[in-house]
Amino acid sequence: MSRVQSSPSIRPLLFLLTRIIFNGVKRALTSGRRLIGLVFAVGYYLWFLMRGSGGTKGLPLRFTHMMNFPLMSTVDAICFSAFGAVSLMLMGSLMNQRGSFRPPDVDVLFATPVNPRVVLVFRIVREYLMSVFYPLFLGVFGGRSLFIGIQTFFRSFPEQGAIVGRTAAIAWPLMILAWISLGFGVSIFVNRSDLQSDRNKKIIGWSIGTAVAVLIAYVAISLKLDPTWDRYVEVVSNPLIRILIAPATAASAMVIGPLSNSYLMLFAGLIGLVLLTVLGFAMSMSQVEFLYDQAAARGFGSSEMRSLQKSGDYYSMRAENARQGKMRIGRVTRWVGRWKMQGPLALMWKETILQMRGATFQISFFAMMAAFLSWVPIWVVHPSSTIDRIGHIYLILQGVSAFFIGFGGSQMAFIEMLKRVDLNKPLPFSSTAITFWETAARVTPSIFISLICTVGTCLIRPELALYAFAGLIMMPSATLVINSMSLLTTVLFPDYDDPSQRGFRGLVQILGIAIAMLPGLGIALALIVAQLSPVVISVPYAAVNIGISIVLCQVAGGLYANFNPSE
Amino acid sequence: MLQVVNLVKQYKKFRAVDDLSFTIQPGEIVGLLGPNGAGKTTALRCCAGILRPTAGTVLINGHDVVTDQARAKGGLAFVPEVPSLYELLTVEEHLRFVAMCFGTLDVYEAKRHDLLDRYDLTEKCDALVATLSKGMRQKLSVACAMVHNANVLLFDEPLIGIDPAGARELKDEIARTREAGAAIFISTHLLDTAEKLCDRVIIVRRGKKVAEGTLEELQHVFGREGQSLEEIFLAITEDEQSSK
Repeated sequence: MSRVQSSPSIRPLLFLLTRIIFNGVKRALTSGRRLIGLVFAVGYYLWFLMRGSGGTKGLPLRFTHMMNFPLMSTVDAICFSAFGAVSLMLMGSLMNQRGSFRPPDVDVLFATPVNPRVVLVFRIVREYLMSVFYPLFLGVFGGRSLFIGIQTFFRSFPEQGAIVGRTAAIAWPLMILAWISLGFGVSIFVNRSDLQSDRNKKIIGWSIGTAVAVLIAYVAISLKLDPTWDRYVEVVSNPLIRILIAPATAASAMVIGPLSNSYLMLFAGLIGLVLLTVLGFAMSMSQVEFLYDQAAARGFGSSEMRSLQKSGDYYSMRAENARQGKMRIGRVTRWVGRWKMQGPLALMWKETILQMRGATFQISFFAMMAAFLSWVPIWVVHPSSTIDRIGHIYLILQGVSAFFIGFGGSQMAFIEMLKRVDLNKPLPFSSTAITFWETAARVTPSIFISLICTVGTCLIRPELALYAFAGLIMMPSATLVINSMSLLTTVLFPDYDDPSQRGFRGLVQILGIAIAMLPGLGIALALIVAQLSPVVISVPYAAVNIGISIVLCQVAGGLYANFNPSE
Repeated sequence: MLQVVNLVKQYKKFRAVDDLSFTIQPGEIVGLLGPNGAGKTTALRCCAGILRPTAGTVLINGHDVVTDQARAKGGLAFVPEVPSLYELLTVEEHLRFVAMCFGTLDVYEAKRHDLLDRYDLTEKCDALVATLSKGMRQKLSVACAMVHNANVLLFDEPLIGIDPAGARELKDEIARTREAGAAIFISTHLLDTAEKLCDRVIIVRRGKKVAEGTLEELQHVFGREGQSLEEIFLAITEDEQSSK
C-alpha cells in the first residue's frame, strides 16, 4: 500500500521556506493596517540605513595626517578585538537550543521521511544566513560608510586599506559560519534528554564561563595597572587568549596576512576557519539522531520565548516561565489574591495580580528609574537655586518617569487584554467600562512608584514636600492619559504578531500621547505662571487628565466592542 | 505492521514510557487508553520517530524508526492531538508540502480533488491555514495523513475538536483504511468510541502497560464479564483516578 519515492531531498524544505515568505508578504499587502505597518517598517529601515551612509561626510579625519603606516601589531589588535568581541557574544549562546524549530515542524515535518541530516544542514544554513543577513544588509546600504571609514584610517595607504576591506569581508562571514556550526554541535550535545547531558552542560558551561571570566579579569586588571595602548596590544596578543578565541584569531590572521605580505598567514587563517567549520558540522552530524528528540521535547519553550520576546508579550513570557516551573507565587500576591472585589473593581484586582506576577521586573526597573530621575537632580541642582525651581524640575522629571512607566508598561498589558477578549467581553460590563477599568488598573504601579518618590523626597528635602505631594497626584493622572492613548492605539492596530504594525503603532502612540497631554500641561503652566501652590495646580491638572482618559476610553471601548481576534 | 519492543522513554529522572511492547498487524485498529499523563502521547511520538526512545525499538513495516528512518517513516502517518500546522501555507500548499516530503507528489496530484472533497477543504483550498477554524485544521491534519497512502497510521485523540458529522466521516475513513490493510494505532479518551472502533486496546498507567486485549479478553482477565470498557478502564486505573 505504501509507496514512497526514494530519498526526498531538500526540495520540500525550500518549498516551505519560499511559500512562507511569499505568503507572509502577500498577507501583509491584503490588509490596509498591515500594509501601512509594512511600508512604515521598510521605510524606517531604509531611512535609517541611508542616513547612516550619508553621515560619513563629517567624519573627524584624525588619522589622515598619519605619515607612517600603523604598526602591524596595532592593526592586528584592532582586528582581533573586533572579531573577538563578536566571538565572545556568540560563545555566550553556544549552549542555547538551536534550530528555531516550531510546533508544526515537530507535528508535520519530523514525522516525514525527510532525512534529518538534510533538515539539520538546512537549519544551519538558514541560521547562518539570518546571522549574516543584517551585516550584509548594512553592507549593501551602509557599506559605503564602512569602506569610507577604512579608507579614512588608511588614507595615506589606499592599497592596504582596500586589502583590509576585502579580506575582512571574507573573514567575517567565514568566522560566523564556524561559530554557527560549532554552536549546533555543542548545543545538540548538551541539550539531550538524558542525565549525562545535564552533567555535560554543567561542565562545558562552567568551563566556558570560567575561561571568559578569567579573560575579562585579566584584560581589566592588566589595563588598570598599565592603561596604555601598548599594554592593550600586548594583552590581546597573549597566546592563551588567541587559543581561547580561536575563530577570531584565524579571522584576524586572514586580514593581517596580506597586509604583511604573508600569504602563509592568510591561508593559515582560512584553513583554521574551514577546519573549525568542518569540526562543527561533524559534531552536529554525529548527533543528528538527537535533533528531533530535543526539539520535540524541549524546543518549544525557547522558540516560543523568542517569538514572545520579539512581540513584547512579557505576560506570556512569564506564563511560559511558569509552565517550565521557573515561577513561584509570591506571598504578597497570595495576600492580594484574597481580597474581595465586586463588579468592575474585580478587573482592577485581577490586573493588579497579573502585573505583580507578570511585570515584577519591569515595575522594579521603572521604580528605580523614577527614583533616580527624581532624586539625583535634587542633589545635583545648585544649592543656591530656589525651592520652586528645584520643585519644578522634580515635577518635570516625574512626568518623564510617568511617560516611561505608561509607555513601557501599558502596551504589553493591553496586548494581554486583547488576547483575553473571549474572557472579558462576556462579563456583565459595557465595553467602555471594561476599557476604563482595565486602563485605570494599570495606574497601580505608577501610584506605587510615585508614593516611593514622594516619601523619599520628603525625607531627603522636607522643604519640597508640597511638590512631592503634587507629584503624587500628577504622576498617576499623567500615566492614566498615557495608558488610555496606548489602549486606543493598541485597539486601532491590534496585530501583535505583525512586527511592522508594532513599529507603526509605537509611532502613532507617541504622537497621540503628546497631543493628549497638551491640555493638562497647558493648564498646569498657566497656573504656575499665576504662582499658585503646586498642590493646587495638581488638582485641575489631574482632573483634566482624567477627563481626557474617559473620552479616550470611550473611543477605545467602541473599537473594542467590535474587535475580533480572528480578523 | 507496527511492532514496539520494550520501549522506554525517559526525560532526565522521569520515565514517561516504561517497557512498552505490542504489535499491530495490518488491518487491525488498536486503541491506546490511559489517564492524563500516562505517557500515551509520548509513546505515539516515539512510534512516529519524533522522540528518540531511551531504550527499545519501534519497527514500522520491519524498519527501525531510529536507524532506518526514511524507510520506516515512508509508510507512516501521524495525526497529532492539537495539530500544529504551518500557518502561512495555504491548505493546498500544506498538502503539497507533505506530499513532497514523502516524495509522493504524483500520488497526491492523482487524489487531490478526492482528498479535498472528502475533508470539506475544496472551498478553503487557497486559504491560509492561519484562517482555518479548529475543526478545519483537524480535518487538514487528517488529510495530510492520507496524502501518501501510509500503511501504519498513528492518531493522537483524532476526534477531539471535530463536529459530529466530521467525526463520523473520520471514523468511517479509519475503518476504510483498515479494510485496505493498514495498521492503525489510536490514542483516545473516548472509551465508547474505542470500544466500537478498536479491535484491541492497550491500557497504560504511569508509562507502563497494565492491560491489553479485546473487550472479551479484558472482561475475562479482570473477572468483569458483561461490563463495558469504561467500567473496566475505571477499575484498572482506579488508584490513579482517585489520587487526582
